[in-house]
Amino acid sequence: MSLPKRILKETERLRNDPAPGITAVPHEDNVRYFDVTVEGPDGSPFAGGNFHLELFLPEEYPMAPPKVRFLTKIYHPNIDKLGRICLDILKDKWSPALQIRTVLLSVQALLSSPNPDDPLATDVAKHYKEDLKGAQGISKEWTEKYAGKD
Amino acid sequence: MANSTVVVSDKWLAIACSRCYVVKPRTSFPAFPPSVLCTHDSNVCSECVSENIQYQLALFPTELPFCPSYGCVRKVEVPLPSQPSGVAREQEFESLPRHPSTTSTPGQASGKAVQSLQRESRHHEYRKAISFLVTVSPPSETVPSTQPSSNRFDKRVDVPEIIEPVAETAPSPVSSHDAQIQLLACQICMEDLLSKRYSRTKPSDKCRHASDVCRRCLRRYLKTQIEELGNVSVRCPVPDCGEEMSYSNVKKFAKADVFERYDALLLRKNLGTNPNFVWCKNPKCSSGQIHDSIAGASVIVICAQCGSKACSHHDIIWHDGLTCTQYDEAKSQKRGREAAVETYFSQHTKQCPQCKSPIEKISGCDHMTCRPPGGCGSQL
Repeated sequence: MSLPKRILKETERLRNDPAPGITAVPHEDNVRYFDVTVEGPDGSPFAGGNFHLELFLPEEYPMAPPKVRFLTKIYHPNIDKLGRICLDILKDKWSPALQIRTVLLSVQALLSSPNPDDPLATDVAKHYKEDLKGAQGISKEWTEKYAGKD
Repeated sequence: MANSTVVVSDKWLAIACSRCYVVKPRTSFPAFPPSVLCTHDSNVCSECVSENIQYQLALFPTELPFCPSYGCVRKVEVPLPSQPSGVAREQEFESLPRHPSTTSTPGQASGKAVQSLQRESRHHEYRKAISFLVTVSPPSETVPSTQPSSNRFDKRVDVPEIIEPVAETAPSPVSSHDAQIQLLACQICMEDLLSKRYSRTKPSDKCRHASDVCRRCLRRYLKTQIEELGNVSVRCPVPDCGEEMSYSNVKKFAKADVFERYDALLLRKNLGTNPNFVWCKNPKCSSGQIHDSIAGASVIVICAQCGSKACSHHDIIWHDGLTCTQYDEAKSQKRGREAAVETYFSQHTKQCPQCKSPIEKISGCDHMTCRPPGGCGSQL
């Protein structure tokens, strides 16, 4: 099947006009599969980290949301140990007018504002709720340990 | 590669053409963007500009062609065979939709004057630059190879008669609207679509934004929402809008089979809100009826369509030979498959706090949605 123009255009824009702190490069053998890096936002415990993600555009895209997963280990209440992300726009709030770019910006925003009230990693969320400083300390530690710039 | 612009030397700057995607030296691009109103750089190579404009002229000889850059809807000033006076043209430009950045607010009046001066000078220079690219043949000559038939040619000869009355009299809103062909990018598939050929319309009557989504995408969107997600309160796909699509709009945009499904789901949802409604339990019958469960009345519902019996108390096929209490007793001693189902339900599901349907977490976080059509759609 030929590649929809939408994917071509998005890929091109991601390459020519990347969002700050975000890169998304399609695989040579599968243009629907992207290697993504997101820089941890300043002012968050993830600052200075370079997080690797994978992003896949299913056949139904843009009617169905892209599948996004963290490959770098991260201590975050809305991201579980397998890297799955709890983000409304990746599920029921998905709209076909959203794009790879907006999704990745939302992921980056999720890093600056964790939401322990809607947790995916329950233990991390509990830690965040009970001892915010301590939890953020671990997030920072993990960032330095696993998401150091290479 | 981070950027498409590759500097080889000061004079030899290579740019990727946004139409053919071929990297070409700067000299292969026009000095100015195709339209004087363009807000982008000259990002389409001369070859593509010329080819695309000739193509557009061949298709719509009476219209000013659009800028060949994708997503740009500015019209390009090329000398048409039936060119009206320069003043009329200038007015036409003024009436064109403006990019937000070029739209002036009252406070920027002086800025606007400067802008328009700059625009005019660019405009003249561009006309010079483009004159060698676009050769528009006079009506008597043979038109470029893109001209498919003599029929088109006739149309071209007729041009002066058609366009002159319009240019002279003040354009009435209706006629100018009919004649306007816009090339706009659909927000979803991002294809550049001619509004005339590929009709574009607002998903919901309440939408306050422009018609940004083409019919094809809207049809596909409705298909996923209705057939895959069972959603009957479909919202406009433009993210900042979210207005709910009305029944008539779904009917207008969805394919017949999708609409049929929508209609059935909607009916089921609305009947489901009536506690007295009982569906016929015969799998071959799709009928249902309202059964008033007043105290003392029979719990046996006889389908008016097929005549099969159902129990309105348990909402199952009528338990033949047993009263409701006897059935409950028998149920407590049940075994085999039924018991296994019951165990599964008690172990894996919880009741939705809203509609009391058993729900199971499929994936993801604790933020759950009781999915329609079986569920009520509430978030928990």
